[in-house]
Amino acid sequence: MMLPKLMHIRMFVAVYEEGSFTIAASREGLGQSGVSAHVRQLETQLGVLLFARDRAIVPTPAGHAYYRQCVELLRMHENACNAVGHRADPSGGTLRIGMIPTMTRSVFSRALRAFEALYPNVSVQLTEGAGSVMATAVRRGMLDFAITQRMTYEAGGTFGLRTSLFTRTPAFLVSAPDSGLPHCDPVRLRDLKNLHLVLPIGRRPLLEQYLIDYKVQVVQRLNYFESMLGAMDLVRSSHWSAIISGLFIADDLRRRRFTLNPLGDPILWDDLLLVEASRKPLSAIAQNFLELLRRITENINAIPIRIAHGKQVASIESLGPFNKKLIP
Amino acid sequence: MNDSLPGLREMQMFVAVYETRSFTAAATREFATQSGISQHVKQIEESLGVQLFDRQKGVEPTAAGKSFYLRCREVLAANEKAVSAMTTFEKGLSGEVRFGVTPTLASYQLAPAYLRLMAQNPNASVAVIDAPSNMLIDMVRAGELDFAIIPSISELPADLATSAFAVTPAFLVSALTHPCDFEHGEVIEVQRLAGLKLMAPSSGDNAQWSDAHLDAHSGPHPHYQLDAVLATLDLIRQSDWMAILPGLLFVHDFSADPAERDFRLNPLSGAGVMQQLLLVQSARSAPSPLMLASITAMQQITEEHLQLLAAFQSGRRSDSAQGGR
Repeated sequence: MMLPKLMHIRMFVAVYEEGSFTIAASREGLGQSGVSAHVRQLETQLGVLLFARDRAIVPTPAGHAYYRQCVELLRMHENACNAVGHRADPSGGTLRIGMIPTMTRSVFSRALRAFEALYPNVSVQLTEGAGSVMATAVRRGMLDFAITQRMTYEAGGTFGLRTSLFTRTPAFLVSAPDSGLPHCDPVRLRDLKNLHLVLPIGRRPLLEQYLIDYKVQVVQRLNYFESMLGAMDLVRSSHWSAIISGLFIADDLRRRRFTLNPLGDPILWDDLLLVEASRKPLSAIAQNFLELLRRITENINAIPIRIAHGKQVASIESLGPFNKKLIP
Repeated sequence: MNDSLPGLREMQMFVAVYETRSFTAAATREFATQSGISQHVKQIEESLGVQLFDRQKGVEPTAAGKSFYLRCREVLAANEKAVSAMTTFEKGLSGEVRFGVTPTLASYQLAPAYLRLMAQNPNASVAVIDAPSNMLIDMVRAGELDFAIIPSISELPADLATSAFAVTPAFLVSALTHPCDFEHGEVIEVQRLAGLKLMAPSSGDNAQWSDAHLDAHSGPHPHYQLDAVLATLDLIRQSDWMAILPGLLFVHDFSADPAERDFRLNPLSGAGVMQQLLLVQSARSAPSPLMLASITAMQQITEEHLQLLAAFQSGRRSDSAQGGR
């Protein structure tokens, strides 16, 4: 049986997923001529063309078929190497995670503190940023996994990624403390006559669709304000309001620095996705962190969900810090 | 980090040692030297930080060795599957071709030609579209299509290379339930169309048919001109409107058994009405082998269907010459 070099298979997968020899080269740490030579050698060995090179880098039917098999092959290879020896030991190493701000404002630090207590020797690198940037970083092997919003991918953008639902969090209208809305009561956006809305780009497709579907009148839109922290500051001290995920403002529910109202009739659910590279299984450490992150997310998310369903929370102030019982 | 992980060849050597319980036997099986084999196994052990064999007890695998062995077998099987999946793509031409056809050829000729092309060239990337001729011409001009097959039009695009593709006869098409007394397959004199509701030839693609004598015989009805094959066929099926349409749209409607047909077809007398199809391609770039293969596939299928049409016409004619059925 023919045994291609793993390096060649990795290069082929990189070119297929990135659609560019240059990006594939930098992803795998090689010069561009090296990449095309690797792919050509693989094509010679297999006796088929994997890419039609006449216009752009377009995979041939054989290229598509081989890619699907190679993704499995690389996962199995990684699994084999992770099963024994020092790679099987989850007590050390580095974990690289990407997250959108929704996850970093209230959830991440609690998860990290819990994780730290369990795995004191694991280094953790967190990158915060836009979902599309995080997803690309996962595909390029710079992150172990990312949590992003649901994305409308550009054509071909999902190549090389596996996504699954991580959680669903209800969206809240965030306005100034003196906006006059009753804090924590569900609000029907179409009833609001004076809505000045900040619409960050990552959420815009989801929000705009909701605004259209439920005939919400927006007096004024702020479309190119791409800073979550800046937006929160703007909302706090002006007539602008924003629609923000429950997980992002979970801590603010009891602090009263904003007026927070879940969107009601209907609730707007914001889906967060777990994004992994297709070719790589999650390491044992990453799986453990993820499990912890899920538990803590569900715990924090429970209160926004309850509020979004219009359930009375006896006293928001009495909820106290969420994290105490989570630290082992 | 990844570069130091064992490759497929190393895994295969380890598997050989594991299965034969002997470095010597593994070397023979893998056409390698014994020292080469043992060096590779040692490299795997070092890169993963694990002992795979207990060398005190000869070549006895450790628990980690057994677990790694099972996974290596999976990896090698995955490789075998990947490599053997490629054998189906070995023959024929590779590359890309994009072509368009007039809707006339889309009902019965495009799909078999596409399937034949893909069967002969499994690693080719073929994109097809059906569209009105003016759109197809623009797409060829813009380089979005390598070639197109269109009905002949009065003004040929001077900047593109055009050549004859095929000539298809046209038939009078009516619903099976149409009250006229034409029998399926019977040759009809153009004069007999007087007073019948005949749809006008569509403005663009079939304009060559707007012969004065045909127009003259369609009676004082509203003037319907549909540039849409599906809508035209549906209107004919559901009403007493008739049309004269290219036979290539009806290659599945020749049967004498009405249960197997959607329409009643009648050849027209005399020389009949013919439609010419043209091949349009860039005048500048030379055709690729795959493009030539695509043209050939379309031509072969069209030719086969034209023979069926001819047999239908002549068969019916001899039938009616013998006094009909």
